[in-house]
Amino acid sequence: MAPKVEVHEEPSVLQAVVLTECDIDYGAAITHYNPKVLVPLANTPLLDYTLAWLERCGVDEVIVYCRANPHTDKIKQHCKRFTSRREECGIKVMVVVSEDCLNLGDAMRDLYSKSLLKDDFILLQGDLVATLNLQDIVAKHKENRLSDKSMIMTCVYVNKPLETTAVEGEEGRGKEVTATLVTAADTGKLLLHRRSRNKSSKISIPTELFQASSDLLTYPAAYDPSLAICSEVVPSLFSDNFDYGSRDSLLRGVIEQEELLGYSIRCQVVQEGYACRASTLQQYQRVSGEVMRREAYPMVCESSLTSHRIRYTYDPFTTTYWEPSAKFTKGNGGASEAVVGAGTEVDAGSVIITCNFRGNGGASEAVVGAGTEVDAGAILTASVVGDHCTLADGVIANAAFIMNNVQIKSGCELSHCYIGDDVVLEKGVVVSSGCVVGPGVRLGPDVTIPPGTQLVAHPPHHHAPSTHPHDDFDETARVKEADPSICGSKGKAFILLPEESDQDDDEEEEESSDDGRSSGPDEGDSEDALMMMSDDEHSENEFRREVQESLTNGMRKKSAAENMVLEINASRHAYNVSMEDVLTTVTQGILRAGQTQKQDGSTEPTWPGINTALKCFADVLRNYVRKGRDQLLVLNAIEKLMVDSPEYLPATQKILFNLNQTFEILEGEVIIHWYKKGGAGTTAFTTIKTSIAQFIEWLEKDSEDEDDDDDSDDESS
Amino acid sequence: MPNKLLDLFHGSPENLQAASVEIKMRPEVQAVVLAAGPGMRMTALTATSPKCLLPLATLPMLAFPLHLLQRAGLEEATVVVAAGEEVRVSKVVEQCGLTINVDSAPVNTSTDPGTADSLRHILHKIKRNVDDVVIVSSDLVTDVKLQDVLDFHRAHGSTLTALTAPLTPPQHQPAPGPRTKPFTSSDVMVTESESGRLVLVVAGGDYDHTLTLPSVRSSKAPLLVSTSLLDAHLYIVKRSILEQCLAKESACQDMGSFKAEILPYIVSRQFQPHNKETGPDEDFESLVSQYNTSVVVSRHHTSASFSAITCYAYKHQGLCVRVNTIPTYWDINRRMYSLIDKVLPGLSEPRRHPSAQIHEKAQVSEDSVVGAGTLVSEKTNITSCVLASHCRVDPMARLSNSVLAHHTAITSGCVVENSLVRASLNHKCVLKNCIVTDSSRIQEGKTYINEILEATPEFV
Repeated sequence: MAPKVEVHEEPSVLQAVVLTECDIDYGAAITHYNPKVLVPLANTPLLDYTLAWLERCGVDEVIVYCRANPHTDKIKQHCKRFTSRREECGIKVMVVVSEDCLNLGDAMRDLYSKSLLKDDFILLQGDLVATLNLQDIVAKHKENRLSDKSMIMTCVYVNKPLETTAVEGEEGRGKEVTATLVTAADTGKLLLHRRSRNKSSKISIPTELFQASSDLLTYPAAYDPSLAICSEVVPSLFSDNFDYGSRDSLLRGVIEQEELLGYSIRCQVVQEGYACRASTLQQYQRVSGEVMRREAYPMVCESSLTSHRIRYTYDPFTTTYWEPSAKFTKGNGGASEAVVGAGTEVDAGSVIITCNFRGNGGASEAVVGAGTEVDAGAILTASVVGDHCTLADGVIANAAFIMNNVQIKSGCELSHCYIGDDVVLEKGVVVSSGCVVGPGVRLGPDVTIPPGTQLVAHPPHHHAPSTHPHDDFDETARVKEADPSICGSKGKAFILLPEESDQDDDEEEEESSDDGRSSGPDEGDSEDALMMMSDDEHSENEFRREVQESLTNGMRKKSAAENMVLEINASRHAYNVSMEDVLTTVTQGILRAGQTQKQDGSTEPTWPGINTALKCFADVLRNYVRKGRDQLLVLNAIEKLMVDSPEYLPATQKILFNLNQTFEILEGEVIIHWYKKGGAGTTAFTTIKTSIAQFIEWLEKDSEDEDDDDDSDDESS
Repeated sequence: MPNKLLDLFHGSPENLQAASVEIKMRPEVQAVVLAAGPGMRMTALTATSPKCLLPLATLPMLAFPLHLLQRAGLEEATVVVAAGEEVRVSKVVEQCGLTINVDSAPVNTSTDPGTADSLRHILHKIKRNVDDVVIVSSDLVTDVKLQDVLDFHRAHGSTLTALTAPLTPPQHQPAPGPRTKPFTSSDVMVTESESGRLVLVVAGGDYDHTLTLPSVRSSKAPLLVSTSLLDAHLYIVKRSILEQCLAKESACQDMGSFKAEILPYIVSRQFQPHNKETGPDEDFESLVSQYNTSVVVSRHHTSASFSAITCYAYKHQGLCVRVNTIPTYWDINRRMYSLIDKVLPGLSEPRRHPSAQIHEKAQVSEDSVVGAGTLVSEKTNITSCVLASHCRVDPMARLSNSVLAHHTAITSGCVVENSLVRASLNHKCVLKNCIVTDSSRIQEGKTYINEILEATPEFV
């Protein structure tokens, strides 16, 4: 278990909150097996960089905040290992686990309700590698706070040009990385905060800002390491306003409603020091390179961040690091001259030195872990190899990140890719850039993995339970058997489709929908391209997905009906959907919400689940059912649901009965009318007809002697 | 050995001498003083006198920019004046004891020419062999060393350097005259915070709800968007670019104002990717690319990071005032007692001119300025006033915090407080916060508060 650290009531305790569920992920092929913060970067887990930095900056207590999922114990154990090496006076790490934390806002609300935050605290993401001088930043924050009580938060930015914009631009998520800032020149107060949409865009400044300050300091593209020093007001603001999901939304809210709230935010744009988030795999690659090039000094590869012992031998001439137990064997085919000629090496241990003196000069930037055998004929550039791996002759690895116990046989070419634990690559496998090879995958021989592929060792649906198994638009082809054309004759691998990874990764989904739907369309684009849907269909599906999410979340949180209606209407306006479609979607969504709650393993909707969903959302549905025609729409929607998922059929009668009797949304007459007219005329109606015949019969009888209907309720249900 | 090294760095005396001789041979800078302005923002004063000749303390306004140029070692200045004022303007030099040669160039002000029109008018007077042209407005009062600005301009290889200073509110308020709310939206200057490079200039009133900054992603320096910077109307411009902009076929041919139109145009041209109007520098570049095919323009070689045009703002932290409104005119006059050593070093007229006759029974406070030939009679009380030359203050008059123009007579018994008097007061009266330019409006024994007593235009 996590070390239960007693929180001392000392005012001087400097706290830091590290969020492990980062807003951006590496994709399920990695995070299903290992939480993002424990993914090793240059053979050190990401979280260690954060903890080591915080410790060095004199932070007393770190709250590692994570969502309850299978990885929670791993994080707890890791934090325990980290602190167990330190004496009593060392940094204290407390792991806080929450059941329903979806984003930064939820985390803040939760910490506020648990009243774990005493004073000013540092808020950061677990994937940050930084060497900024936090003490100065915090001191300045406190000083500013003394002079200006309305100041509640200091956002920290790094002013550095982004040379590698070309790399991250591919994904379109690079926009999260920089922000356009307009601050008051004298105080540093943040007046305008915008995410830079694209690099060439011009900055426009509202001239009304001149009223606030005559001189504005504008940072066209400040790097945002998602680091903030918050006062105790911030968590309370988050809990006052449930619209605040992310830090960006808080910034927007505070800036826009300055008169109302009376709060302000300041910026510190730091020129000195290093800070970069390994937020995406592209950024991961970038940060790895920078750590290897010692830009994050004193956090360097050769010293362990947990124990501070020197674990690797460092060769400054070639920027290579290797564990003393790593072997660099002389392979039979590995002509060392060739290696020297190629300008790169991890060569036979003694040869490394001679190579350097021969002046090949190429900085190969490689890290090689303990017990790893690298053949002399292998060429490593800008790559990291974990422990106990074997790299055979002729392997070319450029910017490859190879975890532990990986076997790579001769002739493999890896570039810009991630290779998980226990992967076996047979001869002649080419892994193209942007690929992720999940743990345990076997590939080869002689296959080429196309760029951007995510491979996992098990068929996707076993380990990636989708939250929407019944979505009719979920067209993911599920591969049961490994396809030799993909992974080779000896291989065992399954392609994880991108949209699949998006869907099972509901943290990310919900984050994006909570972010004011800013990134929603973006993701939609990729989905659109893959599924080849028309725009209309696409936005309809997008809308359905959003409503479904709102309902599922609403059910879990027991949200009030008004809020649900607001949320649904917001989605409706966003996608411009007609009222009829809304009603259909809501009806089906409610029934589906009942099913998702009870889905552990089995996908069958059960009546108790549906019943609770109906109870939960009766008011929501009632809000949309206004005329007799709407009731017909509800009935048609139910019928259409049966077409797509016939497993609802047994429950139909109960659904209709409850809608009619318990919730009084559907009138008996309307149901009878609908029944007599033949429903919506879909193929499912005939089966529905038989299954609800009993109920209709009862209804007809009931309408004849209406007086008794109250009593007969209980009997039938 | 160290001595020899030092010699290498500093140059031998002979070399230095040679260099200074060269400077004398060819003037690098030509100065243009724009003094034809009608003073639209201070019409109460400029109705009777051209703006550039309005006295600041005892000296005409024009003496200040001329002295600024003279301090920097310039020997000649072209002064653009309204037609008909040439003689009076050229008299300023001898009157103030300046050594600079003034070449006055009259322009016809009946068509209300803008500053750019004035410059076009005297374009032929700009010598072909100078590198830079200093354009200065006649209403500038500053303690900046022009030499520093010139050095800055050359050190940065600047195409255009504008002198700027923090905008300071007048110290002496309220100015005489009726209460007005002088709201003019201020200019916006966008500079790179460290280098001072000008990124955008928008004259006050020329912007709407939003300002769009050009994308300058090559630099990591934050941009300072400032509305509190005073554009002092002192520009150092490369002659070539000035000629380009003032040429008949240029894109600026219809522009009337240098500050509001041509300056923003030049600044914005820094970031235009392809320049159609090629200057000599660009000609060279095109020749290079024509004959040296191995020259490949790099990815970073954009107009934003490298261009023929680079504009800078020289940020002066000292005094810098444009005397173009009644409040600033008032403020500068009142402060002149303490400022005169700073803004006219070496030329400071004595605060009490020797030819002034001050009666021994007159009470004149220390911080008053009394000009040549002024006569102050007995039993007068003068506190914190500026009395220009040849004034006459009769007995029993009481003056406080006021400014008297040349040849003003104050009859006995007058009480003048916080007023600007440009005409003789021939009747006993009380003035508070007034501007007097026509004495016929004054009636015996009356009290005037917050008024402008000026000659009624003929057509009324």
